[in-house]
Amino acid sequence: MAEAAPRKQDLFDEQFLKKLEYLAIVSRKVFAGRVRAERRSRKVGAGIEFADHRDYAPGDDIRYLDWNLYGRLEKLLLRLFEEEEDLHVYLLTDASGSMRTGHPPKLEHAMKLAAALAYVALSNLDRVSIVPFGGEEKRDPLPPARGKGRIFKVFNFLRELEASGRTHLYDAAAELVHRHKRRGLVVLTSDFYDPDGVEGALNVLRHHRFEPIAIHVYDPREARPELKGDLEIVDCETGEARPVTISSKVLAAFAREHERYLADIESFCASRAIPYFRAPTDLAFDELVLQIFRRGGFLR
Amino acid sequence: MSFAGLSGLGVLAAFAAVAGPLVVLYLLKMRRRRIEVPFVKLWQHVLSEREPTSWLQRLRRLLSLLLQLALAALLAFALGDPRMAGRAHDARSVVLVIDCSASMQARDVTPSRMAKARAEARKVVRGLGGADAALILRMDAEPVPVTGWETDGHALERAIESLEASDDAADFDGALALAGDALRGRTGPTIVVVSDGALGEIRRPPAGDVRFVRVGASAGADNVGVTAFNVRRYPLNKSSYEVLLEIVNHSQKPAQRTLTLEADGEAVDVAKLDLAPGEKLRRFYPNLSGAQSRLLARIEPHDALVLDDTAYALLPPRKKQRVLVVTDGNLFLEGGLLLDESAEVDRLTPAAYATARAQGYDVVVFDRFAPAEPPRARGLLYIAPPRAQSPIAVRSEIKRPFLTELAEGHPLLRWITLTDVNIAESSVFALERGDVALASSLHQPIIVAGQRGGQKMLAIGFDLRRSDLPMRVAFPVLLVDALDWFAGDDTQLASSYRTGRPWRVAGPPGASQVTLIDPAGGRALAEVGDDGFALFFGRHVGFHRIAAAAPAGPASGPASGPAADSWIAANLADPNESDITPRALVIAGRTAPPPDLGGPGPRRRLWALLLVAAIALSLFEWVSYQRRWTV
Repeated sequence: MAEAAPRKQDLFDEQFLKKLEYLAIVSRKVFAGRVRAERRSRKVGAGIEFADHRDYAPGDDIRYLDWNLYGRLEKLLLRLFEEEEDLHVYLLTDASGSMRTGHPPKLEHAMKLAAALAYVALSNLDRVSIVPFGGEEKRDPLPPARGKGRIFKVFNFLRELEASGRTHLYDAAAELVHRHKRRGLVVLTSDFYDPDGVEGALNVLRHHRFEPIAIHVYDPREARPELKGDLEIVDCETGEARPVTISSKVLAAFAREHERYLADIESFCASRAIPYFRAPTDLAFDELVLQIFRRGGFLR
Repeated sequence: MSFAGLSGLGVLAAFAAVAGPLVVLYLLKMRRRRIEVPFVKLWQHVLSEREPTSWLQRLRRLLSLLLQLALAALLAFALGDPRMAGRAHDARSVVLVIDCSASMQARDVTPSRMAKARAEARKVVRGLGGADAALILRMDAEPVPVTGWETDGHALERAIESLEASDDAADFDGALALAGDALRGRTGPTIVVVSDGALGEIRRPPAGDVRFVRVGASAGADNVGVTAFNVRRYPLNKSSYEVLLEIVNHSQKPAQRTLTLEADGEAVDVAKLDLAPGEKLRRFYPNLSGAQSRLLARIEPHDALVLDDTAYALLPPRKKQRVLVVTDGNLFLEGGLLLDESAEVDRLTPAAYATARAQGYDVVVFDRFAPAEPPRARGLLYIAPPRAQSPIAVRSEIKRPFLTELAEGHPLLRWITLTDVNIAESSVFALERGDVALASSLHQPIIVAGQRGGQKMLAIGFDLRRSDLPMRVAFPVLLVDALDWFAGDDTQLASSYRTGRPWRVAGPPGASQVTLIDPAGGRALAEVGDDGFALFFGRHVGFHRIAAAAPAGPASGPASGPAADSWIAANLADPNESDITPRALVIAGRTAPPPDLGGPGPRRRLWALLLVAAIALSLFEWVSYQRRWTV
């Protein structure tokens, strides 16, 4: 860990900032002509831009009844407006013990991704909050910040992150939805090494009308570890040990199992219309961010 | 079976020392290396599908243990150096006679007969039984054993590998005699001869069973070689010389060759030769002249044996001599000396003679006069010396002597006869040790040759004017012989030597030791005898340098300068060796059979086999580990 500290200082250097600026410019080009910096929610509210109709239900505000349609269709329909509001972007970042493995450590990769997304969001005048999780103790989140000037606060917050403790995705998601009443975009960056699975966490976000985006960070070498012979493997989070004899066949089977694990999560996300991105540590963070932009959903 | 290394108990102890800890280690649970992984659950899924049954696991570990124990047993056994006990009465003593003569340089087989002979000899060694012992004998002009009695196949093969073909002929009789001596008193005496077979028939069978391995191809063993190459100066005209060449076609078919005769690198004659099968061609080149000294005869194109395609000869250098004649006048003498063109003759009367006047002359001739003190010249010729001053004591005088005894082999009497010489009166000399009576009358020496204080001396006891010797052809020849003898210029000396023979080589004047430097740079040292010659056993063809190794004290004469290097030439010049047609070995009318390979008991030592087995087992264990058969 003594070596990790100076490297963390170097994570967000001048070069990194240049890349972030480039990403911010690219993001504007990608979405130019669609909307301005602000984001509109789909809820019916005090907005001024018409969005849709729905049937009138008792108790609805009769000021929003569309009398013209009633004249033509003799049906009471309520006009819906998109309510303008700031987009809240929650960067739910895994800082559990398993995130310190990998070359470079997966946590570093996750931190760069979070910093990049935060910068782009801040540039778009969105509110950004970073919510780290991992371990039994609650970790303090970075309160919602707005404006590009807050990016250094984001950097400082990320630099303080240490990977430790067990992964509890569900608890982290539940904690987030209960502590933050303002719904928004939740970017869940994790290696998803949770014995309880990832489904519960994503479901709880969806059920509370948050919009989750899953970014799966992993080291490709985790799928093909350079191990051989009689070993005792120990889980870096749980401490669970198990004797194994590793041969080339076992390694091949493990690689297949690893790929299946990733595919299962991707499949689950696809079935729930949750954007899912693989973020191998050998993939440059800026490329991944651009992939996220192209896929849409992060900025509108 | 017996153990040459550790005893049986020692082998058991060594095995126990290794096997004990092995078993203990296997009984103890192996501590596995701990590796931290990010998510054990993924591994659980993989391993649950591949969990082996416990009995299979145990069996695998047992197999691993058994492999390790077998490895330990093999190593312990190897340490014991086990030997198969051969039956002593079946053991053979094999003398392996390997022909290293010049004909083994022939390249009618690839790469050469010598290489083939080495390969055949190795086969014989590898076919020996465990109880057999062998001795390697190199056969060339001087057969020598290159090993002692040896049972170690590797040592024998190393000795075989060191053998190279020489430039000389094979002494098969000598080799058989040596082999017989080595086999005396040994069990199963066997002689295996590896040769191309040009050894001649052996009429008296040697002791022991003789086997023969023939080397060489019957086809392609064609050879045309120079079997004689000699050159000599004419005795009375030393500026000219003559050359004799002998070339033999040893093949069974006609041969065309180009013969080039070179003198100091320049072609003297080039001739196309058409040689019939087996033809021996002699060529004689008379009246050649020139200042050359090195002659070379070359046959081209080269054939299977290159060694005899080139022959070497050296022309003896011409030696000019300054001769002082001290006489009151003797036309016979002065006229005779003028015949030798290599002599520069000056004349002095006895009255004018002083020792200092003789300085710088090679030869001084005293006619009817003898100084009180002899001058420091290389040679002194006394004719009718006065009795009082004679360097050889005069015993008596004799009237009308008849020359009844002549030293005919002496170089001074070469080409001449002194019988029926009429002499009026002569002194009779008293011989001293080393003196030779060249001519005697009823055992009374009247012409004597000898040495005094390192100077050669010839004394004629009679006045030339009172004999008819000057009227004979023998007289000027005697003077030429005398001058040649004084100069050490022997026209009978060989212009080239034969390899594989003792070489009698004239040492440089004043040298007590001489070094023979062969064409390859090899050196041999020999003492120079009282006769001025050193003996070498010559082995290589080509030009050899003779260098003085050490001076023999003060110079023996005023004309002798520092000892200069001289050269000699050597050739194979052996028709039998040049005839490289492979032949069978016939002993007492019976053709020698091939060797019987494979004696009782394995030849190789078992420890090596055990070690190989241990390595193989170790490899198998490694593979089984890598393939997860034993873990």
